Amino acid sequence: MSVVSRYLEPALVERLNHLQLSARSVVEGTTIGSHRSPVKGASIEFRQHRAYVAGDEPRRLDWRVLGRTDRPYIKEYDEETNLRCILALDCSGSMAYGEGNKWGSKFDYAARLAVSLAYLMLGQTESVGLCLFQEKIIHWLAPHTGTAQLSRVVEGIEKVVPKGGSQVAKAIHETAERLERRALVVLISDFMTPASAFREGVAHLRHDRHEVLALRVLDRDEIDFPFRNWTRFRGLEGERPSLCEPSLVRQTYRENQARHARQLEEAGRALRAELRTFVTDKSLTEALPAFLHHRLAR
Amino acid sequence: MLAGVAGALVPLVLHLLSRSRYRTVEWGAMMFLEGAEARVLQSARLKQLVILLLRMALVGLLATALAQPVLRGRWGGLARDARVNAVIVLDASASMQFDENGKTRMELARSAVLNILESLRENSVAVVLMGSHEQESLARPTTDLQQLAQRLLTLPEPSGRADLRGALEHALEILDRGGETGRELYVVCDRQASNWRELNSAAFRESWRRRLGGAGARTRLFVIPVGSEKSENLAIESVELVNPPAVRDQVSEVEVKVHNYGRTFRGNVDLKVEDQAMTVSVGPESTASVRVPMKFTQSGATLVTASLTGTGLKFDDRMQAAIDVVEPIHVLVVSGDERNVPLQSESDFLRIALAPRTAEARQRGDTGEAAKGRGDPCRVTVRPAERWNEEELKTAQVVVLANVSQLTPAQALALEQFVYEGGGLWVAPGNLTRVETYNSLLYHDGQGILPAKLLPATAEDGSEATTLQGISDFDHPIFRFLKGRPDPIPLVTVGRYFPAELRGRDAQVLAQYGSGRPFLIEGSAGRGRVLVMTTSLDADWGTLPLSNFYLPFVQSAVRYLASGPASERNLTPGSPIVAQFGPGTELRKATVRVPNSSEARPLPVTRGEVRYSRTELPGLYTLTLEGTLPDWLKRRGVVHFVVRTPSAESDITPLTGAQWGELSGGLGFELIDPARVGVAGAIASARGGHELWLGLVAGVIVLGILELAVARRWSGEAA
Repeated sequence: MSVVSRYLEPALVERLNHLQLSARSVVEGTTIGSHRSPVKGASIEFRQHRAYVAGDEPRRLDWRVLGRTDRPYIKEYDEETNLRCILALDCSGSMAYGEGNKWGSKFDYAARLAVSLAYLMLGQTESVGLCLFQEKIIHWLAPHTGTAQLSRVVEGIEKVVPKGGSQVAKAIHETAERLERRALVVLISDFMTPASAFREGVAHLRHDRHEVLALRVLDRDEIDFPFRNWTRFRGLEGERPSLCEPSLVRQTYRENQARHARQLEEAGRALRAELRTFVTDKSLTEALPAFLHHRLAR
Repeated sequence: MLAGVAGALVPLVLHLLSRSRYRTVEWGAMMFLEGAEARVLQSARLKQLVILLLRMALVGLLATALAQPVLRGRWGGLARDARVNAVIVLDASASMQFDENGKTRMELARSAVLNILESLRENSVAVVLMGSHEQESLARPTTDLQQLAQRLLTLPEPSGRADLRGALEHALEILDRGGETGRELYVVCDRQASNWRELNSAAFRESWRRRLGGAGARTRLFVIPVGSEKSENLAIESVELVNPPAVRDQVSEVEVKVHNYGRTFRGNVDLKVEDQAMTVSVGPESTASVRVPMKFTQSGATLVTASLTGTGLKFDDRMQAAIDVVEPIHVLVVSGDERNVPLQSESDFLRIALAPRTAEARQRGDTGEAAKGRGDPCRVTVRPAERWNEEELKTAQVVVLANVSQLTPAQALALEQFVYEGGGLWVAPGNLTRVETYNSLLYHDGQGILPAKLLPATAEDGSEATTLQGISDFDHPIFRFLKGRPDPIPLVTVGRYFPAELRGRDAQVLAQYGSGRPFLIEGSAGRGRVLVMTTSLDADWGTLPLSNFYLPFVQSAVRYLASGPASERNLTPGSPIVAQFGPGTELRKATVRVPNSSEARPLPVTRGEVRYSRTELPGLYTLTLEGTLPDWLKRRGVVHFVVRTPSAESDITPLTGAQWGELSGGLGFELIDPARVGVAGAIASARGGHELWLGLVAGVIVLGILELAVARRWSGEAA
């Protein structure tokens, strides 16, 4: 429990208890839940009658209609299912930026965000899975319900150290292939990858009718580029080091960064995938509830 | 300025240092940086170079502006021949020691001289003269201005009296030797009014103006007064014995004068004379004197130091006095009226006055220590006139002819020789005296040692009786003891006296009767002194011996006579040191030790005396003598001389604006007041150049703004 509490602040837990994360589109679940399922079957909400065909289960016959009309009809119900959610967390080297900072690294922040969402959804009796990826998927936890799943999510995160390069598109493709049924895929990453790769990956997920929620985690430094004096920037994912006077590259950096953000948003908008940016200097206790409120209000 | 311009390299060095001392950041968003780096590489270098050049220009321009450069030549509107022959007269007198908030006036003057040297173009010739009696010129005329500037840093502490007149005349002589063009004369001094007194006469001004603008060789004269107009100063004006010489084991009074040159009353000023502390109050622009009784237990040369806690100049808060402490004075009384009845002859009164303890012991019939003269200021030997011989003069310092009727030619000759060698002679005629003998043998028609011709005594019936009325100078060593008394003129009636006619040359009446006739006449011959008292030393002709005036007067007169050969021990700078002593002294070897030096320099002994004239530097000069010396000198053989800074230097009253104007007009100088204008700029303006500092400062401001704007824009902070 102590490991879990490292990722869940009491104040945040208190606030999450009054909130929920729901899928906007229809998802497929394995148990009865609050989400509407495209699978019709035995359930509590009547949908239609249809003529009996050979092979239908006799228990699904509407005996009242048979007695009145002498024709066998099968009663069909809308199946109420739980939400299947995959939390895909980027564990590449770039996520390690910010270690030693007041707010912690991006990965720390992203991990707390993932655990918080898992807690929230497991509390709603949803199924939650975990996908940790770098250049490929390095850990996969199939979606499951129950409070024990939260511990498994945390254990999975605990074992990983952010390092190496990232292949977001490739990881998404793998994720899509592993998902058999429609689900909510929450991508948590800094998306330090070309917007085209992001678009490609999200398109795959959307093609498979998954709902995609892209949560982008950035450090304030990556937005403002506040450095002064000569600085040697050494890439966390093995890129070529760069020595420069920050004041002279600041404007271009900001332009590049803004353009990339714009392209990500355009991709998200085009593919109906929600993109939300979290900045590590803003407390998760404030930022996550605000996001959930905003989402509920839409 | 070069150093300042070199400072422009500082931004470059910092730039390179900052490049070499970068920090490393582990960075995640390299994808945004790589593109940026590729695109801005070329322009970044250009921008860095532009910013670097802007910063270097900023520092260089600032340094140039601070140097207050002047544009000369074709574009400056100026001088056909910018090469200058410059003579700088630097006031190096003691008043330049005045502290102006942590910097002495000398340091301010030095800065002004450096400004002048900086304003001179290459190949200009310059020389710095010290405008003081006691300082020699700093250097010969030279074109090596850098070396001249460096030598300014090693100047000795200012001392002595300012001699601007001498320095100015010397400066013109140097300029005359240097050519006819570009003649410039600078005077860098303080604002002391007394510096200029010698130059303020109409005759000097007229001749000076003539020389300044003479025959096609016009000389420009600039005066640069440094320091403030503060004038408050408290000084010890003098320290001296009231009745020199001091006699061993006798109480002597030392008089200390304190002068307040300021305009505020100074009360309860702490004064210390040797180990005696006291306070003194001095009114504005006045003098207060304090007499301190002192007893010296050993004979020889000694020093008395007085010091006070004052304001203003420091050198005059302390003063030393060199004092000779002699053994009791050997007085030979030649008595012409020696009697066996007590208090009937002059010698009786003299014994009591000069050796009271011995006289008292003799009266008691005591033959112990007191009878040998212990504790008395004098050792008195009395010889009847008919029994004394010339040999006895060899051991005497003072001879008193008391009512001696006449002298033989041999005796007169011996006395003459005695006086010429430094002995003191007191002629005190009486009822037995035959004046014609004195006049013929000692007065000798004004050529002898007697300072006055004695006329026959006044009437025996007392019809011409008179009183002692006038003492010409209470500051005379004989009468100093009367100073400060409520009734300084003694109540003395004189029934008879010898009228006297003064010898023209050097005779001086020190006191006179109510009748206007002289009572006491002073003269000198050779190294010795002669006193003529025109009435008797006993009570036959008057009440003099019965008055309280008699004892101190007789003692004072004998001391004065005994100190005849002793030259002045406390001197002003430049006055020669002369060491000579009375009869029976033979000097063989002498050395002198001067201030700020431990080296003893040998001195020649010429005709029984030693002279040393290089006394420009104030301080203590010590003579060590070998040979047959007076008793008081035998123990150590050392004589002190103190050269004092002239008290005029303590008067730092500044010239007023009107006085500066009058002097400027009279002497034809241009006044450059550093308190109002920059020295370099004012000189440049006077030469016709243009100052550039204002434009340069404007350039610095513009560059600063430009650099700020560019740096802000390119660093993206504005965005």
